[in-house]
Amino acid sequence: MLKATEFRDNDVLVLSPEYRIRPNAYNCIIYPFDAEDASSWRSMPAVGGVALSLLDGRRTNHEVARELESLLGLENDKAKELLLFLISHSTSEAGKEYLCHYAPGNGQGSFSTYSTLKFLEKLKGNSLTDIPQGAKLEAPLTLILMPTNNCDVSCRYCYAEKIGPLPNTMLSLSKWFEIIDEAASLEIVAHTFSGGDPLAYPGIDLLFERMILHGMKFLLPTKSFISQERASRFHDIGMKELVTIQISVDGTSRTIDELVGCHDYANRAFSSIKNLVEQGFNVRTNTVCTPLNYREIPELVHKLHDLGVRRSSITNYARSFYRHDESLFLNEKQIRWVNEQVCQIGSDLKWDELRANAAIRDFSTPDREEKTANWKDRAYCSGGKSCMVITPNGDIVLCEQVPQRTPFVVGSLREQTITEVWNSPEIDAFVHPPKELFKGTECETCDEFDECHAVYGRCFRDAFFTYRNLYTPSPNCPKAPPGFRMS
Amino acid sequence: MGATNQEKEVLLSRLVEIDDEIGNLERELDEAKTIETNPAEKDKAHDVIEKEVLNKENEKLRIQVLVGQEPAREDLTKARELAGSKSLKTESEAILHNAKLTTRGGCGGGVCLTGCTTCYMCVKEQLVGNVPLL
Repeated sequence: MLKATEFRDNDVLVLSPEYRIRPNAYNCIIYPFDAEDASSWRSMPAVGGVALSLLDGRRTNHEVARELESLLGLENDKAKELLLFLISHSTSEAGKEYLCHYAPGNGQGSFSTYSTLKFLEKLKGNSLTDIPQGAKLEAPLTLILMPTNNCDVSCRYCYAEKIGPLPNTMLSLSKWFEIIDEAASLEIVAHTFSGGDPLAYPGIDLLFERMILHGMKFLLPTKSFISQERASRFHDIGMKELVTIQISVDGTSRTIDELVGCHDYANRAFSSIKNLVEQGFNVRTNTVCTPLNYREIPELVHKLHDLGVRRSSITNYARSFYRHDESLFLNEKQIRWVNEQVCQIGSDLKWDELRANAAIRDFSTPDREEKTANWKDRAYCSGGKSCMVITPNGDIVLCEQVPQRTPFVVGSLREQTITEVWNSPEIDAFVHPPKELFKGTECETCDEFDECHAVYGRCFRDAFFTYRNLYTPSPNCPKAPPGFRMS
Repeated sequence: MGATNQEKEVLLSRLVEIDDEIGNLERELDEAKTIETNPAEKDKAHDVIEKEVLNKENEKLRIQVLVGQEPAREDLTKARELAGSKSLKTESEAILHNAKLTTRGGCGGGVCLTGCTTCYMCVKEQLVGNVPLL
């Protein structure tokens, strides 16, 4: 659909199917309908959300303006200005346009809608200010679901702890159904599976079907074999439109068997890709480069392209807390080679979604100036702000890589609902711990302590992994002591 | 497209049937728990019946989604009352004057699975800042 850039009375504007809106207390938030990107949500005044809810694919702009006059008591020119505001908001960042022109009955694709009445019912009132980025939302936008820590491969670079829980403490499939039903009622509709390999959980296809019925989108990373039958079943339960399946594959030869601990893994992965592509799935891949396999990347990339992979990411080995092996790091020359090769092949094949982002991230010899510059632009942590992680026994943690035990566990869905955990003092105390806990560290005397925790957050994962203490600065902080090479 | 009234009736009667079938499965599960003494067999019976029940629950939800689809344009009468009660009418202009457009990428977790190991470097999305509004 054509992105909306101007206001014309007789045009019909709609919300792109790639975006969703949701009332959030006194505002409207608009977010990419995709688990990976949802943390880049934006907020706008509640009235903007009311206007967006009127874009139902039937009303022209003129009719929407008239409804706004009636709903909000605006004069006609002000109602039009509100729609103009939405267009300028939508086009303010290239690539993030969410409003489109729509021609009814023209065979165009779908669009997102939100009931005006439901929007107003959930809204608490007005806010004169935006929600600051990094603030905690009323409910999570995304969940990371870890049905199991089991996996049928054993990758040397795996970052998961892969311990337990005991089978009798794992959440049952019916409990997962309850969790997904509650998530649907809270409008948490974009998820990422993690673990463990989700396909190693018995009966998981039923859960996938449940999520599809709720209209949820999810990312399913796996190294399990997906047979023709299973790919066909995934198709039949409607996964094609809403699910991105990611197959991890690190090379083309038997060399990678040693890396992933599985016989003839490459051919197994290629068969899975073929079976999924035949069913029309959006398949993407992820490849981890180490000195063992990086020379295979050019051949691998061509193979993946021939198989019909939509998007392929090539990256370099990153430090794993649980089973780190220094010999798996690529050196600078190897990293440059990988990036150059992939860039060249992407250009030759005109494959825009082939990406290499191999890079060194090293906190062992800190460059304070560089760290200071990067610190200001750091990503904010969505843990406890717009996302949380459900572990196999129902315990909640705020990052999928941290150990699944005290003090990282902030609640449990065995005894609590999603809402109860999200609104609990435990989750807030984890995200913003009292300064006293940081005694003897740089954080204890840091003037930015409150801002650091309240806005962008401190990477508690890297802090713990580097200094073996949760209550320390993260190693990318300019004030932090030297850490490790991370990738 | 939503279901026609006739289709809806058929679907709704199927919903009642499914509830009965789930009831039967649950009774079957209770019996298996009582009769079966071998713990492994008991667990197996439980797993099989649980999956059947959940399959039926999915069928129920599929019907509810079909029946619940509302093709008609939304009636805004109640929405108007609500908008009035939430003071949206008086402050909408002021709100627009104050609106700022700011976004910043975040570590959404799980992204490391997709090959993102450089999250401190790839999210330098510009702050858009204030945009002239009204």
